[in-house]
Amino acid sequence: MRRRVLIVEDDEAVLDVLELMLSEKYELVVATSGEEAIRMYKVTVPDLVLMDIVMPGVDGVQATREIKNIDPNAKILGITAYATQRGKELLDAGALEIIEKPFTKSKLFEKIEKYLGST
Amino acid sequence: MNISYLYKQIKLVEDLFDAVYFIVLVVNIDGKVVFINSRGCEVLGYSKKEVIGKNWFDEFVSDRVREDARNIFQKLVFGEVDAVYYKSQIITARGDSRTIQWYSTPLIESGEVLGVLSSGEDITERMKFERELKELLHTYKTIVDLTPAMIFVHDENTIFFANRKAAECFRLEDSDSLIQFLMKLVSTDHRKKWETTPRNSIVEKITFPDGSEKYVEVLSNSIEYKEKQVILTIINDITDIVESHERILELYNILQFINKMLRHDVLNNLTSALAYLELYRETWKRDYLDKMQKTIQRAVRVIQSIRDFESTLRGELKAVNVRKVIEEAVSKYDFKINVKGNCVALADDSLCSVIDNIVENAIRHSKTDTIDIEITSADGFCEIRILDYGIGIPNELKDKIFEEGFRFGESANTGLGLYIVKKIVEYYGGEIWVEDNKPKGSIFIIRLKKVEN
Repeated sequence: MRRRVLIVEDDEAVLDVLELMLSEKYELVVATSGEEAIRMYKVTVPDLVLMDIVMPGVDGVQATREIKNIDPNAKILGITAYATQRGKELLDAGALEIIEKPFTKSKLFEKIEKYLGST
Repeated sequence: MNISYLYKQIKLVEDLFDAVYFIVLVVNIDGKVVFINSRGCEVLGYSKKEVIGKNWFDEFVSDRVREDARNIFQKLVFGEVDAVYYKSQIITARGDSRTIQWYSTPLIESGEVLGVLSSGEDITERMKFERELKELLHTYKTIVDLTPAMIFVHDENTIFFANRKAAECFRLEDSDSLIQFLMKLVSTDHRKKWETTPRNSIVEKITFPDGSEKYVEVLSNSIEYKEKQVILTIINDITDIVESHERILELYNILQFINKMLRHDVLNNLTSALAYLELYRETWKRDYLDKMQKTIQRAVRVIQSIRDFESTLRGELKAVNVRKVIEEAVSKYDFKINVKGNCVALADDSLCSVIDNIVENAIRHSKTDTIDIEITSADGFCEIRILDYGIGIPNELKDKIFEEGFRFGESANTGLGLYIVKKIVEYYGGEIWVEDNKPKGSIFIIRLKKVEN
């Protein structure tokens, strides 16, 4: 059975490449805002969340906090250009690790497989 | 009367004179000292033996006042005056000058003038203190008059003092309303409304009688003035500081915004471009190259937006022929765009990008088949109305479209366009908003400061 990954990303092009890279291996669910991410998490209960930080409205840090409240075992990886201050805030909110932009496909898989296993 | 008794009487008088704190001096008609008490000797720094028998004027009076002192002495001796109250300087054994306040009367026995009796007080220290006090008062008065702060000494009913600046800025003749104004500024209830600083001052915006609005810092304290408890109120005009502070904050926000655009928006696009390139190398699908090109173009647009914004911030505003700029901005579109009217407004070259952005949005999102641009002017401003006849903008989005990160429609761009447009227009000192067009479509209205002739 394929593992389910929730991608939370408001940038159309970044979302597109994440979908293109991951769809061959994972079942994907997509949210384009923090609010939608919280809603989708409750409905789809994914195995892992890829979370952007900077989004209008509820941002990645708030969304991570909310999801961890709903499910303390939620596995959340941050994807951001803000690996310094905001990245730290995301880790404090409960994210496991930060994947810095720009990323390669191999890097992306390496990080995801670290938490989901390679099958 | 025996000699012994007489001597005792003289000794008693001498002892009495020695016990007093002022100088007692007797000079005979030749100007020689026949008696000086202990206090006189103490001030002079000589013993009685060293003084008695010496010519008072030659030996002890300062050169500067010697003639005046002699004249007064002569007038007393010759009966021209009965008593004289005057100041004079003496030179002490230490060589310093002391100022003495003298009261002198002639010594008369059986109608014959024997000499002059003087009592004196050393007022050197008092004079020095008075001089220093006078200098200090003069210094304070100068400071108070030259200070840019407005200073009032007042109570609930009266203004006792207002410095020059206060008189310049307020109508002192209208004292009732001025007192009311000051009491409102310093009242405890009013103070509670404002955050007090460590200097116990408040900062607020007030309207001056000339109609100008300024930020002021108000300091007030209870002081004693002419034996009354009154209020000292100091009003500092800090408009320049507050405005500079606001400008710094604005620039800081702009810097943060530019930094964010570069780091977030450009990096997002480059991340996608690199990822498309990686996917292209894996699959050799041409579609990925097209997508890569689009994301690189988006990154370029972000950088162009920053460049426009930056050039507006760095450059100086100038008189711009609005019609010429609009015609230049729309010339690249193969689309029906009608331009009417003209005006000269305060702006810069980025006005072209502002118009381009709105026109491009209208073409892309509104599905209009025509765009009309009307330029009018009235009451010191130029108005540019960009009308489309498309699907319109829902009311709940009319303000949001100018917010950072707002995206709308299937071909949404970077989400920066209208946000930067608004920032640039505001930097020109203008306004931008959107209204409904009738029967359908939208009108973007830009109001800029008009440049006369």
